[in-house]
Amino acid sequence: MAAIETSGLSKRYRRTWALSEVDLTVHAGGITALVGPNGAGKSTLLKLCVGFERPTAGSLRVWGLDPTRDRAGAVASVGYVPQDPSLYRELTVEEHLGFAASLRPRFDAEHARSRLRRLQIPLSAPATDLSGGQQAQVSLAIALGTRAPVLLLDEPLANLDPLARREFLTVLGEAVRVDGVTAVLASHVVAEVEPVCDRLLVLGQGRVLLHETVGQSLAHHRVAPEGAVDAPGLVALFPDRAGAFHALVRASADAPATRPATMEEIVMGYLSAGRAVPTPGAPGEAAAAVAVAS
Amino acid sequence: MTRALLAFRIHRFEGLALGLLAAAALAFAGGLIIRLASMGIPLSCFLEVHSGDGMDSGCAARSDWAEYWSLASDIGMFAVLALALLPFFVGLVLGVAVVAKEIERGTVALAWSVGPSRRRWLLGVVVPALAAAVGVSLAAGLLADRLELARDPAIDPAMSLHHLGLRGVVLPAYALASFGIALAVGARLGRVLPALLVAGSLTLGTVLGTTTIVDAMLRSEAIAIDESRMMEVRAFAAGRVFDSLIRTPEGELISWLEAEVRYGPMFWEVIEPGGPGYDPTAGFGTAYLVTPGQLYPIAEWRMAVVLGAIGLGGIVLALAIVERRRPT
Repeated sequence: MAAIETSGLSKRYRRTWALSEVDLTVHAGGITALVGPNGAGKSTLLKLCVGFERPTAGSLRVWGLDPTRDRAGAVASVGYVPQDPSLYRELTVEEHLGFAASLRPRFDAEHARSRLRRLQIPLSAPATDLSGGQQAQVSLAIALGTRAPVLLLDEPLANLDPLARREFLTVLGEAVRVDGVTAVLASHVVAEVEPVCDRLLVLGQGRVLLHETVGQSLAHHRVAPEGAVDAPGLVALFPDRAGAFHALVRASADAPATRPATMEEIVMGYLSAGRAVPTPGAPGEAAAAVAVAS
Repeated sequence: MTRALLAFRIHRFEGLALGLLAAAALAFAGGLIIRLASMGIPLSCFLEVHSGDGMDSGCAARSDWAEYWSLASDIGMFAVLALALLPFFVGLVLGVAVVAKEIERGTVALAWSVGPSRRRWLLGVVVPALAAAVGVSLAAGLLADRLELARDPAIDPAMSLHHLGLRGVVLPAYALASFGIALAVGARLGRVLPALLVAGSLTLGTVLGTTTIVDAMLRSEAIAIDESRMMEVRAFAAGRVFDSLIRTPEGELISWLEAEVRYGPMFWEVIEPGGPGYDPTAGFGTAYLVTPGQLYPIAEWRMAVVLGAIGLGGIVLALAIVERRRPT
């Protein structure tokens, strides 16, 4: 079953297209890393799924339901974790669970409570007394307490320190394994989400640039050395941290003069595709785009 | 924990601030009522005030008579205004807090993503907040009625148009109207301060508009009462006097200006008692266009229903806005 299915999905804010004709199927199960730079449309896609936004064009189904026509049904199928935990400063953690239970008929407060106890988060503490990481865990626990089959996480790691991020991802990974939910985790830090993700969905400028399993991505992409602008299967040239350009190619493991690509390189390559980049060998000089992702 | 208690926890700052304000206003008015009652001015003194025959020396000579009127008039007016303004504050602040505050702070993202029904979420907050606002305002309205009686025990507040709109069931209607307007404006704007300013202005306009309409209806229901009967029927004390008219020797009621045009400038000398041309046999009389105080219950409920309908309309509008808007 498809957890999320879109067809020609587009969303426009005034003159800006946040999403443009997105065709996508996220199959049930596992964690999909939704990556892309700021403004790529990640948050917009998740907000459309949870009924916070309405599409400008196209169709969207979440767990088989259209959030525009049946928002209540679609919301009942998702647990949502926003970037900022959105907790009430006046309520304790326990009261947040009560609040969720008062809004969601089948909210599993005990399920959320047991997760928070395991993380030693004090249930009687006001939300404002918790650290950022703990607040994110409370937000995740509430989303898991909904027992929704689809979990949407809108950059929950953005404001967390490295330790809190790792802890969050551990809990998320365990929840997906144990509860069997489908998670879509938006992030712009690929390296952090890589260890827990099953699928990779790269968004750029409102379009899907890549969507496949992590295993497929790693198996099908290689990095060619600098200057390989004519490498077969070229996706794009992308800069490394030192500023040197490499070629991301779509090729099998036996492709000559290539090495395996990391997930970060794959994402960098797809995000660089179609952008104007300096011609290798002539740094600083403007040149035309060298490749477009297929 | 029930939804109502959680709603109170979430909006406890507003709740406590308004609770203190309400307690102060109610205590102030209640204290004044007790003070006035404790002075023990006999009812006969008040009846004499409205008799039109002047007061006997017994009442006027009382040492506390002047103090009573000072308290009843000056301090009493403050108390009346405090009670009448309370519903506006309560309705506006709670109405804005329910949605605008949550949008501004981003907490609706949690509520709207956990709860499949936004209507259920909104009603879960609106019902206890509205119950508190209307309850406090009803107490203020009833106390204002008691204060009206305490200020002048000779006039039955239920039969007097005096202070219409400043007491009784109109006060909870004010709370409902301001709450509904603030709720809708807050849901639309999603910001507390702008919502308070816009909703406050709209509420003021609504109240002025409603008062104008109700006054126009009362005027259309006014009857002419001869000056000689005005004190007898307590038209000055309990009715709403709209105009003063001249009753011609032919029995026709016309305006003073019309009388001057019809009978010439000498008309003024003929009707002025004690003047050189005064002629009591000329057949002129003075009458007033008055809406009797007996119409107070109708006027009061009419005003309350209009304001209440506006408030309920605001709540329905807020529901529609919340259903469609984004959480930021």
